Amino acid sequence: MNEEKVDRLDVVKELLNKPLIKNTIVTAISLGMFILTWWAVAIVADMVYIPTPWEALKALVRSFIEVDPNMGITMWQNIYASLRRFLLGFALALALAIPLGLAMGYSKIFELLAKPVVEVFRPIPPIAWVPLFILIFAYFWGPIMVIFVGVLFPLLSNIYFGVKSVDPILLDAARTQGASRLQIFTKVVFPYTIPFLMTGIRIGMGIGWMCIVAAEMIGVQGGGLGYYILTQALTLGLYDRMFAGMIVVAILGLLTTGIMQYLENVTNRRMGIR
Amino acid sequence: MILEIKDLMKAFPKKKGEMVAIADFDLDVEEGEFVCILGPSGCGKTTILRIIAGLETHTRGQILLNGKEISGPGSDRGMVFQEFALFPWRTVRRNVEFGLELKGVSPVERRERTQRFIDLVGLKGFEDYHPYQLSGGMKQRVGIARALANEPAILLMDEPFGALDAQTRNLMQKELLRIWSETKKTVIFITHSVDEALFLADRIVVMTARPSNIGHIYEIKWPRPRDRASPEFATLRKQILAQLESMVKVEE
Amino acid sequence: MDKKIAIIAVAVVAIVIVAAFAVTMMSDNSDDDTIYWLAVPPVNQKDQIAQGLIDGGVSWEPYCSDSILSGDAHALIWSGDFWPNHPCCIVAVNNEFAEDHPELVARTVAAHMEATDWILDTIENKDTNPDNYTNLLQMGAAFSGRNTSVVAASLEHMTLLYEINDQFKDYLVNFTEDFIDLDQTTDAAVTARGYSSVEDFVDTFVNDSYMETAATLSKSDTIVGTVRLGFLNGDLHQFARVVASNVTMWEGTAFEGKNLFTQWGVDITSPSPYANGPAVMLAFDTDVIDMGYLGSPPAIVKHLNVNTANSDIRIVAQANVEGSAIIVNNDIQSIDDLGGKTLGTPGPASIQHLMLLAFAEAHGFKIKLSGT
Repeated sequence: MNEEKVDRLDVVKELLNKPLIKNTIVTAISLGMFILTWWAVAIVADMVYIPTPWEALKALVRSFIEVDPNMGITMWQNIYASLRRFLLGFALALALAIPLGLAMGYSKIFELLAKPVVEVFRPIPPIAWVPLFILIFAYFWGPIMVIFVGVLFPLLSNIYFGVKSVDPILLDAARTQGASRLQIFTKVVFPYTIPFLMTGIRIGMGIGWMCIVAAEMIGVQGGGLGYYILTQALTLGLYDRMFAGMIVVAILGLLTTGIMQYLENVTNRRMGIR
Repeated sequence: MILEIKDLMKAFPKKKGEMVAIADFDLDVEEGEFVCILGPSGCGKTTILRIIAGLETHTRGQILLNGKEISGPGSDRGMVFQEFALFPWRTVRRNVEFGLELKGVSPVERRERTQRFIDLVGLKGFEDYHPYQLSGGMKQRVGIARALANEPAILLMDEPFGALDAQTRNLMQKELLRIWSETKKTVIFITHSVDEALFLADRIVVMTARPSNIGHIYEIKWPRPRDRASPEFATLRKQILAQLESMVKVEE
Repeated sequence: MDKKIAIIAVAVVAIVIVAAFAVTMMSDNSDDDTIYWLAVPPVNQKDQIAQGLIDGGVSWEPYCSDSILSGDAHALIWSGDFWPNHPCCIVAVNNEFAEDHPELVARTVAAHMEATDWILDTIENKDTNPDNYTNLLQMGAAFSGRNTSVVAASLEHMTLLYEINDQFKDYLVNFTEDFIDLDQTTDAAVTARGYSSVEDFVDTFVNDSYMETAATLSKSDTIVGTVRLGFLNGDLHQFARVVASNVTMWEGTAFEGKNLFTQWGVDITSPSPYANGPAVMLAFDTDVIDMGYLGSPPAIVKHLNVNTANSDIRIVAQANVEGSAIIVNNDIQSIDDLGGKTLGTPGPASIQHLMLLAFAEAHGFKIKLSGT
């Protein structure tokens, strides 16, 4: 009888030791504690701006099921509209950041030419570009360009940094193997930069979602999460709906960066980098 | 003579004037020789190797490989580094294939030609491992195979076993001799360690302190494998150590 | 080698997916019985109409006249023609502040009333007293950043006034019920604020006792107190406040060097102007202002939804009625032409947006967010 009990305990222990299960349990506990704390704060503070988790959840569910009368769409369409802006803006930023970052890191002349321009534009917050971009790029591309600007600089920095931190001994090794300057670039510098690129993309994704509210301040065709949050909070003062919007953005942020983290890990493993 | 170094001088520009690292350095190396360059720290022995490799330029003098003056780095002078310098994202096989890949050799031919060297350095079965999965000794085996795969005229080794623990180091010294005897390459080997030089070399070139040139050349005619415990070994070791010590004092 | 092919294949697939994603529009705004809207602040509407980004917009003076006088657009309908005498901007006060400082509030209202009367007088007598009229236009131009012709045109399309009457309250009841229908506020919010019904709410919300008190007071040589006053940037509906803050108009009179607020014994401090009504309500809620000029609809919505003491305000006077319009580009000549077009609006909870919704319904159009 005792042996049976011990076996079952062992099975449970073994199961708990599996990293996936362990991580899931820990995450669940952490989130649970967060929600409890939130609930306590909401009740104690008793402020209209801090809905309880239950109220936020109700607003969240409603937003998916019911059509918002202001915008005539459900949360699904808001997600689609914002996601599209986000991905397109990100893709554009990537398309520019990769060649620019590689060139700036690898060629001293290019760096001298490009760096001043980059440093002038870098500190300008994306939100400042909104009115100008709407006028220049109209309603489809305008918000996308705001995301583009927000994501470009972290991407650029990571790529540039990656190129610059190539271990010089690897360059020496490549030279003694007879590599031309071009070959050094394509076969040593570029692969070396890839993990930095992946990290940059992951970081950039978080920042991209932070820009979504700024990007959607004017002229949100097709709706959007940023506009939803803005309207619910500032215009209408319906804070439980605002929280619902924020939760959706948070989940999307987690999903996208989570996917990127996974891709990052896969890449690192395949490239033999720890 | 496969390698002739004539009147080599290397000076680095400093704030005031210049710092002469190497001056009046002459050395001739025969084909198939194993030459060790030994010297106190900072005496420029790595600089000489890098100049031969083409990674650095010399200020004056001539370096002739097979009668032709060298210009820049190339796979005819293979190099093995103390820090291994393997490409971490490439497997063992792809690291060794690197030079052939650069030359545009087809994948099938590359694999054929490099398998020989992978087997030679004792890494058969590890072809698809990544460097992070290998021990220090194994990494250096890859480094050696990678340099040899290009069938270089000479093999330059910059303190290749300096990063290994004592036991692995001894093992790798024996392995290197085995590989060398099978490939019959000319080797120029930099080291700090008198023991290592005595174990490996046909000739030991002892460098002076800066501005470095040749202090003394020892011809070692003992057969291999050599007995580190033998009296001749001990005597010569004592002599060379004393010589090195005196040089350090001079520098101070 | 196959790794490289795999990478290229994945990249190509990814690019195709992203491209498809980009190209598919959710909807191409082609429904002829629908009017599409986009959130565009009135100050940006003139340029965007001129650029063709939107086909028109609903805005408030001076932006309406600004667009019209630029030649690129005209008014399809003025709000006063659709909703006669509809309330627009009002003067509000935080209720606790008012109960603590009733005389101060009454004096502020008195200044507002005198300024309004002066404006109405000046407009009526613009031919016999052109100097005053010119002065008025210049004050408006300086405040709104538009030229004097725009200001003159704006004055023709709105009526500045302060009286509170039953029509005013009826409109507010209608607005509140519209908001409840639009799910922008709820009956529950009304009761949570302590009102038994929407009518009860409006009855309490609108408080003309301070105007009554103001009529009994006279000007003061000393300052009775300080009021933090909020208002909207460049909005000519709130012209009375501009006049009440003006000092130069009193040169050569007994009140030289004092503006109307000061003459009535009120020291006014204003934090920076606000972009829209909800922003003024936010200023109330964060205790940055004691009194404010803003539109009545945002005052209603935010008072009901943000159940805090700071947002417990009262309307103590009107500032203007009418003075908004649906402005369209010159391709749109009649109401029928609006089908399938895109108009900019200040956004939900603004009176302009409410008007657009009502207007669309009245003419058989559906209203949809552009791109949905």
